[in-house]
Amino acid sequence: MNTESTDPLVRVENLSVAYTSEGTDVPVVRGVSFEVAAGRTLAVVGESGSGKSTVAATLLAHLRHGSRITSGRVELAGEDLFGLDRAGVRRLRAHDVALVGQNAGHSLTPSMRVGAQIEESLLPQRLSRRERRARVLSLAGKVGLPEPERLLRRHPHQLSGGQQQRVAIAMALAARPRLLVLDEPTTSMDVVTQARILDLVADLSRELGLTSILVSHDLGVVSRMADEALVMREGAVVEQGRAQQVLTAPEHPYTRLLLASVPRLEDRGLAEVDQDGTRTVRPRTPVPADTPDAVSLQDVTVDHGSTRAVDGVTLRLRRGEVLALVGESGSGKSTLAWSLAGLHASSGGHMLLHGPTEGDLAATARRRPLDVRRRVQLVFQNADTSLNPRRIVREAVRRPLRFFGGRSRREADRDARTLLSDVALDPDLSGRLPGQLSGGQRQRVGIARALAGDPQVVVADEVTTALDVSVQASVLALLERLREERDLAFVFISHDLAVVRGIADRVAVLRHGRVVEEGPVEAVFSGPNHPYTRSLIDAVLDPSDTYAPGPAPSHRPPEPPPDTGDDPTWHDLGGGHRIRRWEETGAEASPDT
Amino acid sequence: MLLYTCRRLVSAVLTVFLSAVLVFAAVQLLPGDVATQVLGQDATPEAVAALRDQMDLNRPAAVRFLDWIAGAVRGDFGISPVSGEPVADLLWPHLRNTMLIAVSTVAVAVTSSVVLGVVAGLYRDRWPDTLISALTLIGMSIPEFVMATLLVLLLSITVPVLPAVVLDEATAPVADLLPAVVLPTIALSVVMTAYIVRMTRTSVIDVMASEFVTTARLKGLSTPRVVVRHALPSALLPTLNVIAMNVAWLVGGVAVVENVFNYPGIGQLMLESVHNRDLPVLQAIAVISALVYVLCNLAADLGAMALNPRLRTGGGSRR
Amino acid sequence: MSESNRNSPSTPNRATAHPAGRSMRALLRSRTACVGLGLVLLHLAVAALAPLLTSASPTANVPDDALLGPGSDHWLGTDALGRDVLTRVLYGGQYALAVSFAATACAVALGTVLGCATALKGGRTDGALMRVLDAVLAIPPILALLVVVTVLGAGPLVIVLAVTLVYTPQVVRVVRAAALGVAPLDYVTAARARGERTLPILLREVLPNIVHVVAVEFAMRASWVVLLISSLSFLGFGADPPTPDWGLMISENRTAMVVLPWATLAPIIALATLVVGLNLSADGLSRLWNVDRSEEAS
Repeated sequence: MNTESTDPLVRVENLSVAYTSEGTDVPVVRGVSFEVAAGRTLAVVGESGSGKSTVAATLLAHLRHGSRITSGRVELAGEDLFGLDRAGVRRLRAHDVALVGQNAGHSLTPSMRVGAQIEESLLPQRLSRRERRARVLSLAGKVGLPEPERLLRRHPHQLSGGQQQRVAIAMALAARPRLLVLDEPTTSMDVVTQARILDLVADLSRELGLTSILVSHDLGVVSRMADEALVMREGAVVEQGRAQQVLTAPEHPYTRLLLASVPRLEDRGLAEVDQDGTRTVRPRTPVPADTPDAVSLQDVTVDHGSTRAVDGVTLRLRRGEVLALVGESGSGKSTLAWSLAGLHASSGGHMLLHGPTEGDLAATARRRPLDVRRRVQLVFQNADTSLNPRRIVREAVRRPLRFFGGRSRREADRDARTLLSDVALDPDLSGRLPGQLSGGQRQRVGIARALAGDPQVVVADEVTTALDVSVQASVLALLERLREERDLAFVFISHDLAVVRGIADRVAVLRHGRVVEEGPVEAVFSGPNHPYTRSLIDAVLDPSDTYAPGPAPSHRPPEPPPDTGDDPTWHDLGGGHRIRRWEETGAEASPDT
Repeated sequence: MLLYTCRRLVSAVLTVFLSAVLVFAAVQLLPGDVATQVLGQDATPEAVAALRDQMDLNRPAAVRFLDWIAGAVRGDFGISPVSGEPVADLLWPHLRNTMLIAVSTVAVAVTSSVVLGVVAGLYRDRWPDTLISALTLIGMSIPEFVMATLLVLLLSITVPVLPAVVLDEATAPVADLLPAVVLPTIALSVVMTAYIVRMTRTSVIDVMASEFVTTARLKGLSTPRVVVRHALPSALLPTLNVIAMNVAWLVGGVAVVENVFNYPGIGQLMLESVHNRDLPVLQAIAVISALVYVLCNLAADLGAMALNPRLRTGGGSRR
Repeated sequence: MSESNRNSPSTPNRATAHPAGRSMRALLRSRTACVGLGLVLLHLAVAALAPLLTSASPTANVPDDALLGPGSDHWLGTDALGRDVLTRVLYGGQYALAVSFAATACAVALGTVLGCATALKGGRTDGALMRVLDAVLAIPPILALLVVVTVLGAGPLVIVLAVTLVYTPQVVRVVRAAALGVAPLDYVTAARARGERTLPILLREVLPNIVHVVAVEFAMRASWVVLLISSLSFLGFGADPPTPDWGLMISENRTAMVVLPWATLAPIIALATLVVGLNLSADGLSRLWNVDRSEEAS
């Protein structure tokens, strides 16, 4: 598309990076080579520890403290970036390459107004003060900051996550860089915000003809953004080529495994993934309609001080069923889950536990009878903090066994080993501290600990969010197996609708503490939907979709379904599928970014 | 922000009040009779009775406390049973003299320690840091009375320019006292600097490793700009508290150093009162010290508000 | 990915070793901590073994030997009362070490219990306790000590009690901050969801994760207490005159410092090395365990 395209803008040759730990070199990047032509977007894909971020940082001539280049070169327009002197490095960063990092909340200086931070990036261009101000304003408009005059005078903590990332993008663009490095730019965002930021970056890249390198673990994001893709594992490149090629016809088994592990919206059940990357989707057998309830909620409200986090939720969960609670951060889904687990008192309505053991769940854990308390167990989102770092695995699982079951230490030890093998962990790991386990292993210990109470209901709060995609697939398979074997009912909280599609029997979509839509998974995913549900489904990025270059498909708010009864608040579509009535303003579908 | 400031003020007043209660309780309610304490075991019963009368000891402690605190608010701390003078008349000149040392110490210590701390933090693990860290370790490990003693030996005996021992009265004019301020100031500054440097260094290192400083570097900004505009406001936040804490320590440390130099400050008065068992004076000193401590912490909190926009706006506008 | 990293061939042996063994090895690797703890142990040993190291009496006056310079009989000379300086320095740590360590142990123990409890309880109890502790903090330690000593006399027991009183609030602040950092973590939440009582949560979940903070606090606080108690002796309110004590020796001999520097310098060096040792220990341990020491300088 331009005449220079024969000469790549970025050339990385046989790059190896290592950091020194206690006198020995630990390689992080091994012999990576690639080129990026001007105007193209290259995605560097990999799971945690693949070295992808390290590679990206070298393009800014940056290495983490203690790391060094052991071989190879990094070139921008023919210039060796690690041969530059200090002034050269500053010039490079000020004019040629800019970075947008993962978490804008951490990468913006808390004590400076955001406008000043953007303006700083303009300093090397020797503009007058007035010209700089004007440029900052136009940049703010370009990245879609609402009311720029006012927002630019704010400090970072006064902006939402999406706005912070827009500021970070404006800061990066201010330097008019030739190369933009995007390091997991949307990872910490919820899906709708992610979609908007990706649209913005795609539009800007096209408009300004930017060359970019996108680091991501999310194959959906890659398929949305990239022209070319490079898959890394343990510091080395396993596959590279045109993004579409890599994502639809992968050659390397690892790439195939990665792709197979990504849950898809069209899966009609949970996908089982083999080591070689073949996936078989097991269709869900619907839970019979006459199955007795495990938990019922009637008009439940939960307050955080003066704010109402959960507002009149009515739901039921049947035995052996997985009910997914879906919504963005702040929708009240986690609060509701924590109330079920007895960590928040509800302030109104009824929460009842049915089944072999019955009881009132409105009280906090300490006020519940022991036998009720043990029947509802919680699995946490973050496996890193959910286990006491000073207690070995066996102790973590043994404690609830002894606490609830009153077993002797020896019995509890034996049962703990059994539970560990039930969650597909080697019982020999039972003497390890959590710090010596991987994220997936820790999450399994968390699940075993929940099972130790012998629950009827397990509340799983974003349990796979922090895991790599291949580990996520195996943990989901484990939960499904436990549900079948133990007839467990699950409340599965997630913001990822593709995951929900595979694991859930029924879905409840929460927004601002209220259920806006509820129904069997099939019905919800085939529609019609509440506009908010629609926006969540539309925001899911599927790696095998091809996204036409150009503006993103407009997210049209759905028509309300043909009128279905005379309930003033709900459209009842039958089969348990109901949608909260909404007003035709369009505002309903556009959450604040 | 206004609300926060008000709440902080109320809590400051409350803290001083509580300290006064504690001091009063400690002095008045501990085993033994105050009058006997003051006069010693050999005092005649008549003398004790007379003093009890003079000190109003026959009324309930709570009433006496309220009377006392009411007086203290107006600057009237009662009469010293030892000298027969009003406590306030003893207190103010000594306090003024101590303030001379305290203010100059704070000025010297804060400037030098922030500069040294920032340098050490920026040159982490290289020679300037090693040197500064070694010096601070020594500074922290030598008690202030030893520092003072060594200074006397070094400067006033071998190089007799500055007075080793002050002979002035507490009420001497400030100009006469000025030369005597130098050595105590040096002794106290060394110790105080050592503590603040360490804190500043640690927090500079933390902030320099933070993501936002890395981002600022990757924007291609010059190092001075990164340090001054991006790193320092956050790095100085924890330092502020340490400074406030150290000013409070100073009130105690000054007692020992004044003793070495025979400097007529509040510390000297304190030791004299302990020797003479002049409890009303001690009580007054304790309350004044508590007031200084609370004021320093208040200042640190308000300073933190200036440095940290989060505290200023309460993060309210987003939610 | 991380699964394979964590299980790299070099770790299993070490991984299964007892946690205490691992922290011991880590400790030996930290030079700062080793030197610091070594110095402290040396001082403890000298104080305990002083009667074996020297045959001279630390307290008996020998007027004929007064004010001698260093020589073969008296390596560091004698003081104005004819007592051997070296002997007095060797014995001199006993009082300071015993009183300081007892006082520090009391303050740290009490502060840890109160700090953990108030952090977990929260609410009004926490607010009220912190207010009262703030009020105690507002009174300079040396003044509080002097007041107590004036009223109750200067016995070692009184001093231990007074120091405990003065320094507990600061330990509470540090421990409370550390416990507040642990309290919202999911493993504590899990224990709360099980309905466990406060005490088991404290002992099983919170305390093991702040033990390192407490250890660093102990070393740190000990150095402050040693300095405070020496200051007290220097001012004449600590150890009583015939007792060999560094603070007292410095105060007794400093007027003759130009003539007999060793009588003053020797106890100064002893005191300073002890405090250096404690500070190095605190430094080394906190670096080893990544303890945030932003609350320390109080």
